Amino acid sequence: MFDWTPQEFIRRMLRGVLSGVVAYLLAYYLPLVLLPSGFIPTEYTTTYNYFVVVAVLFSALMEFFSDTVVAYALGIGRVFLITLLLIHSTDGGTLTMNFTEDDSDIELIVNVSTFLTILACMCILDIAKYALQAINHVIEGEVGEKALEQGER
Amino acid sequence: MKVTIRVLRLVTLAFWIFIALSVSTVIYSAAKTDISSDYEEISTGTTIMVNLYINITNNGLYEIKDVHVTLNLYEPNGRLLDSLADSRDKISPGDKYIVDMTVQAEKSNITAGVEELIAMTRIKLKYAGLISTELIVNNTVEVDPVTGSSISPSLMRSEDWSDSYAGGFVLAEADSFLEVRRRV
Repeated sequence: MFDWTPQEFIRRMLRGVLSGVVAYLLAYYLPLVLLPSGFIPTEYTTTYNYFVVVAVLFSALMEFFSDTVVAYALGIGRVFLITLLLIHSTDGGTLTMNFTEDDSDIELIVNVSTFLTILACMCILDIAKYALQAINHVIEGEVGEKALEQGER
Repeated sequence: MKVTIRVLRLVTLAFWIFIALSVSTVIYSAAKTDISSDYEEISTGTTIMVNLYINITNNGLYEIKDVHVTLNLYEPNGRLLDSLADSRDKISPGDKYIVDMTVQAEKSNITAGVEELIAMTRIKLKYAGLISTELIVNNTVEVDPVTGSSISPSLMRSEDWSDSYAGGFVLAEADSFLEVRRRV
């Protein structure tokens, strides 16, 4: 499927690792340094880690498979996964936090469904963009192959 | 096809930038919203009163809409003894909204055997027309406290929401929400 030379393979590997490291720094390390501790409630730490894993893994893989149709498929997968994680982690758009302080029970409910709808729409737009790019990539590849065949004849 | 993809790429990029800017300004504005409150329980010979004072100052860039403040006093079995509500359509940037309400219950009206009541404070508001927030605080109120003592423990300090928890008002730290003073 991919006729890469060993040098090309290693180059892609290095680019993938570099991209993963950059994604890790941007998605995890930088917020950790810039934001005050406790910014993300403990209930949502695991979900945030899932987001980071998806961002890092898909960035690395997309860079590794760059200039191939697989990269666009991975792009669609990444957007799809992030959308699902967003919907799941916010329980459909409602964040609930419970606290107990001395004799007071405190419940904080934040409805972010409007934001979630906007983000979901953006994700759908991103999926459409990746799908079109994939189709375009395949068409260009076929046109290029035909042109080569005609040239050989 | 290439032109379509390029346009789509630019449009999505512009949308993402717009969303990022909107979210940043909403969070920044929300963090600047100042909510201070004072909660007080007063027990006289025949009556139990709960006073709630809330001051919301909108220091942000967006309007705070549909503000509802409710104070209920009820028994643990769910029997409502008194209830008060106040609301305001919007608090414009720079505006203040002050609520001072007192609910009360006659001790003779309380079901026999009930040793404590529940005072439930509910604050609902919508920030920038996007984020709906609801804060519910349940406090227990002793029905028959020891007479003669005067305790004013500051269980929780009243502070700005902007200072209380990183992330602004939507994630306001609950333990810095109400200042509780008891006069027995």
